[in-house]
Amino acid sequence: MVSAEQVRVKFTKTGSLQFISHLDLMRTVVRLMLRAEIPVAMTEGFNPHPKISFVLPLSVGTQSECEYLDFKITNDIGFSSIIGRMNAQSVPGLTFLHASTPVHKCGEVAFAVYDIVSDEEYDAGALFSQPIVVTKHTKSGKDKETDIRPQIRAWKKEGNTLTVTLAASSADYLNPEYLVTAIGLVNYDIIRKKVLLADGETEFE
Amino acid sequence: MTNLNTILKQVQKPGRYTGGEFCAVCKEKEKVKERIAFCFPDTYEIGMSNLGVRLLSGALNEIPEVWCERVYAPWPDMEEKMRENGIPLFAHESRDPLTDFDMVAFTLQYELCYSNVLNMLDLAGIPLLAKDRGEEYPIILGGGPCAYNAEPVADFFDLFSIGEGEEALPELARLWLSMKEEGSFTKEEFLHRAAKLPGFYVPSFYAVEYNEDGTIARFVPKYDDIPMKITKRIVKDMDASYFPSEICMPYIETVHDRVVLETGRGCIRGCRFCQACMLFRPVREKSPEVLNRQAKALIANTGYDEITLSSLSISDYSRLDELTDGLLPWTEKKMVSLSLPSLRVDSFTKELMERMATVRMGGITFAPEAGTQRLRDAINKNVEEADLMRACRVAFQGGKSSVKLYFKNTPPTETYEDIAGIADLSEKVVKTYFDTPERNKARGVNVTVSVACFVPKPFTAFQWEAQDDLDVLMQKQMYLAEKITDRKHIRYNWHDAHVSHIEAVFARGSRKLSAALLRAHELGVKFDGWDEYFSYDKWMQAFNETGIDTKFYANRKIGLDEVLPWDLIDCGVTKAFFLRERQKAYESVTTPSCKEGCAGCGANRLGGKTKWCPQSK
Repeated sequence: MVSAEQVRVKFTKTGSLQFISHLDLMRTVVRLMLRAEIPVAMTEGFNPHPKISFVLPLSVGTQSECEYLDFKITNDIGFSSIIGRMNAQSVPGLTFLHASTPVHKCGEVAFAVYDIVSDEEYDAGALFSQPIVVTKHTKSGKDKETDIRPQIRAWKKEGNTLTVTLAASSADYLNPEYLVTAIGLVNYDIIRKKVLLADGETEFE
Repeated sequence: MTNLNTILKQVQKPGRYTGGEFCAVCKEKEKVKERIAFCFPDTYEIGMSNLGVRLLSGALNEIPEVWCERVYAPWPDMEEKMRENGIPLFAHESRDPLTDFDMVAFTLQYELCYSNVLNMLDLAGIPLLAKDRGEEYPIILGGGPCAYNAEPVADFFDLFSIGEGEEALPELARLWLSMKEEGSFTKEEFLHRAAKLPGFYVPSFYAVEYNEDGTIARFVPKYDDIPMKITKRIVKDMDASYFPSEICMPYIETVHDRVVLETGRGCIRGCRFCQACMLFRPVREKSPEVLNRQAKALIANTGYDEITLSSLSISDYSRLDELTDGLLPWTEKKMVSLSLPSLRVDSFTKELMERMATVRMGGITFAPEAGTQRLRDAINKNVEEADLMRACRVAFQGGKSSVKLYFKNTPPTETYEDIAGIADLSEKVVKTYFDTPERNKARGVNVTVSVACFVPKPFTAFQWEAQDDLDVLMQKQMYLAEKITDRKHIRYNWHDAHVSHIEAVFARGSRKLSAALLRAHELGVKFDGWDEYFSYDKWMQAFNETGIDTKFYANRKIGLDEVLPWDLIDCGVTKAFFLRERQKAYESVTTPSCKEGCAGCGANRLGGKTKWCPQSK
């Protein structure tokens, strides 16, 4: 019998919510869970608040159909009740899909699949057949030229949608914005579609 | 063609513009009959923190036929992108342009927002001057503290709501609805009927005639059935007044990101420079039962974990003990903390501090306002040095080690001795820390002295007084800097005197200033409340080019018999009272608070369930 103590909730962050930063989303979800009266375990200390964590933080400007939120509950109210209560207190774009006991460890995340949707014309075949050198701003403030091609595991272009599988582990993470900049897109949407393990196939859950 | 989402990817803090917040009011536009855009002429973070906007837009949305949306001033990076791409200013909820609305309301919280009002109208594609706007444009309404002397912006507005708006604005919205329904609506007729509702001022209906010296000779009404005194509106019964049980929840962090519980309105003290005190008299309170109920609902409906008790002087709330007794049992259980705004030193006690033990605050703020007893008496800040030291000792004993002290520089009658007194008082606070054995030795004391320039405001005892010339203001600031020698423990902040000068010009300005405002707008003036955008040079250029002598408005002692630009407005407190208070200031004589005895300010004429007032005769 698996204890329901540890909970992983899969949710979406789409539409206007792409403009909400990780910290702002954290605050929004904390307040939402308090309104929903989820019996979430609190942090210790002077200023206790619900202890939650996001598996793979999303950059501002990227939407997602597969975000993961981890927390502990102190009272087993059932997975479906958690989802029902949270959706009742939510906003458009932030939809809680399902809750379950975590299967994988956060550290097992290795890749993320994104759709880059744009009506602008470009030759994807030519782009991916050679190194893709971009300028990265490092923490020390210096710009650094890097080839991001090795961080792109797979790509496929159908119509106006480019689907890419990018490195997404804590040691090796590629922000899809770099790719968009390299292509030179102006009007575009980026949507995270899947989070995968090291085999590049198994979905994180 | 660049779409809005593309633009949002290119600006700072895009969360300011996305909308879609939890509890944002969305109605079906086909089903509503009247659309109102409620504008806050500053950033989203400040506007979302404003209780007035929450109350008034909430009260308007209670009317099923009305949809009131919010609008904030876009930050200049966003404005630039909007102008580049031909996107007019839009409402937060529907993203419809302001020209689609029937009424556009601006809350005027401070004079420095006027340039933003003009810029927002411009960005919306709405002609700035009321006389240039035909029937096809929305009615432009103003309200808030600056509406009490709205003359500098009178030419840009169709009408102003004077006083508290929870009841007045729905009445105005209903007048609009009924006139549309009966088919009798024209702008002129609507304004004429609005001018006869209590608390509405239609500036174009009152022509201003000037004397040769630039002072006002008289106001000439356009119609003989409109009032020559517009009396402010007040909420008569605070317990019964509209109060929303939900709050539109921001995604991004705002200035006051918490439940704000308004315990009452008005202030019993009557500091002679303070306008808010007078604008919100008579003093009315909410009962602890009602506040407790509202607090519970708001915590449940928001998920906030902090409540701040809001009032002009929270420790003067007569039933503070009862209120905290009611709040603490359940807030402690829910791990919700209580916080208080700045406190009066004479009522800051160990008990109060213990009650607020869960408060997350780094320091404590007191406002002695002046450095010597003589000057504190002259401005009627009924606080003594011993009170301040006692309050600081309590704070230090309770483990606090940083204290913020607010002062006003250059009020009437101030001498250099009074200025030196600020340094002296601050050093005594440092000494009090070291003389308190129970102090928190780990951190070391930190006293912040924050000094604002005196700005004479309408509807105060000092409304006739001159602000010191700009160079004198700056010289006095430097004088104080020299006097504060203990820079290890005392940090000295002062307001930019240039800003205070502009503020003083507009606070007591007349309609003649509208030309300068227009010119300043053309020169690109905006966000004057922000250091990075305030441009004194551009303002001075605008004044020079339009023939305005700023000293006439800011640095001139106004004759006691002069017609004042705000004489059409009645704030409840009488001119006779202000004159008496002014005289007492020059004699350094204090006036006791409402609690100790009625000083006859006159606000009880307005009626209502007041806390301390004797019945009006």
